[in-house]
Amino acid sequence: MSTASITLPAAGSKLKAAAVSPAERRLANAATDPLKFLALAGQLAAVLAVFVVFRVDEGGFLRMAAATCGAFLVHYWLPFRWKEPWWIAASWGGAVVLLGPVVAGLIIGIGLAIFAVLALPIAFRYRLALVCVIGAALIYGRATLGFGIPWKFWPAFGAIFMFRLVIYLYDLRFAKGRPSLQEYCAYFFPLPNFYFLLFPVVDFQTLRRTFYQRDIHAIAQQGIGWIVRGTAQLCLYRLIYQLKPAFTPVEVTTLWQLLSGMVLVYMLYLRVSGHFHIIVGFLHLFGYDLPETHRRYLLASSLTDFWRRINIYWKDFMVKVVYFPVFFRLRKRSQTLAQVVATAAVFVVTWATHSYQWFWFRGDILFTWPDTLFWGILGALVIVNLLIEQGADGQRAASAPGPVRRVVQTAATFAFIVVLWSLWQSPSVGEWLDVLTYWQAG
Amino acid sequence: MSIDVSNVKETLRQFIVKTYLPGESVENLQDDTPLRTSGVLDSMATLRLVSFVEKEFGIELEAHETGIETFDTVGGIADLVVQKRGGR
Repeated sequence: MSTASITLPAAGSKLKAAAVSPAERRLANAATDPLKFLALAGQLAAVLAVFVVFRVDEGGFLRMAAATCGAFLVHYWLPFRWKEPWWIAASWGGAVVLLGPVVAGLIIGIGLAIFAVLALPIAFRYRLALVCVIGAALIYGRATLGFGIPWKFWPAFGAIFMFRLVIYLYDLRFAKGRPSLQEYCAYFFPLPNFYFLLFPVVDFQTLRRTFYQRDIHAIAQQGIGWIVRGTAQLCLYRLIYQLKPAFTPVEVTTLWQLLSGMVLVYMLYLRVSGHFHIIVGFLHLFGYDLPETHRRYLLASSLTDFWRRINIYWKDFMVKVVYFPVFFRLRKRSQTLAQVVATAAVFVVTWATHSYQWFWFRGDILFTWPDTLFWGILGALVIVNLLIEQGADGQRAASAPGPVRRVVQTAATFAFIVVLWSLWQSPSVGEWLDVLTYWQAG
Repeated sequence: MSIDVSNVKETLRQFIVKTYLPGESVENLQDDTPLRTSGVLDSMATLRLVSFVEKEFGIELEAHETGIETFDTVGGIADLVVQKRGGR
């Protein structure tokens, strides 16, 4: 067996690529080591202790975290073929604990019914039509709180299926083979998703291809690192939440209060980025070598850079189901036109799907001018940025920006995002303008 | 007209290393080294590789053919090229 290594600049690490089958490599990557296991288990115990002492999140977080870490302790030692079935069983058990037997049973039951429909030996378009009928009935149920289903079911069901089902259907349409029930369940029912409503839109193919693609100890260790980073972000979020003054026209009376208020409003997003780090970190414990999320997004040096860093799972989702299909359709006319239209389509769909997400979580449609303006302005500027980057492509290779220019670009990007974010988080454009201007009157 | 898969792989290797992994040895980029899921190629880099593949091998790719199921490794892309050229 020959092995070689290649330096991956984005990952900043060495990856061993072996000339063996993927199945053999996965099996080799799952090899156990008692000492390394103890090191991982010890770190997880310390993380759980931090969760207990600092109460880093709400209600069922501790139960979810303890169940996930407990599941890992068993999962690690199981024969490879039993690892994923165990993870699914542990996740279903966790769902019962976190959501109760009725809601958990409904989510899992409807999920399995969708799988059964998609496994029917009929043309894809008929299967898709049947899934759309189920989806329409559920949307009706969500809008009316109908069918006698407990209210807790709706946001939890939406959190699991509202976006990932789109990816699954896309992959099913074009995949060479049909995914197994085990692959389906591992994708839709990971334990943390029964607690976290905002969940990374993990790509189905990425989840499958990265499963045990490296040595499990390296994957799990990286996951623990991200859990620690996410925990630090949640602690920081709590601190900011406690210290943050009200960001209203009445409370903001000086320029300092305005600027610090805007920055702190943006920093509240640490809760989402902290959650995402913890979720992806937990999935790493079970061999899913998923990409890093929210990679130094506060240090983005342009709006395009910001979009590529902040929520990489959403960006990849949009690239797959919106950007590439639109781009490929238009590229023969003009590459630049295709890029502009495809990017615009991404931001329109992102705006609309945030409203769709709001519907599953809250039961009504979100339409506000701050939200519309936020996505419109961000989209327009990302397109402009993209065109500038393209124009400067040749020159950039010859002369990369120096450190001073880089710092200025990063500071300007941060400042712009902070201002735009404050608009997004305002109840109305009028109130946002009031906050920006009233302080001058003292 | 059919095309030799090993030639396709070698051409791809040369392009990927020169464009995205400067300084790296071509021999280290193996048939099954992940490109997308490891972060070597982002979406823009993938589009550049798509353009290169289409021009170099005279084929046309669809959006769904650039998913990571086929477009994540040198081996996968080479298989796709050969298949599109009717080599199998």
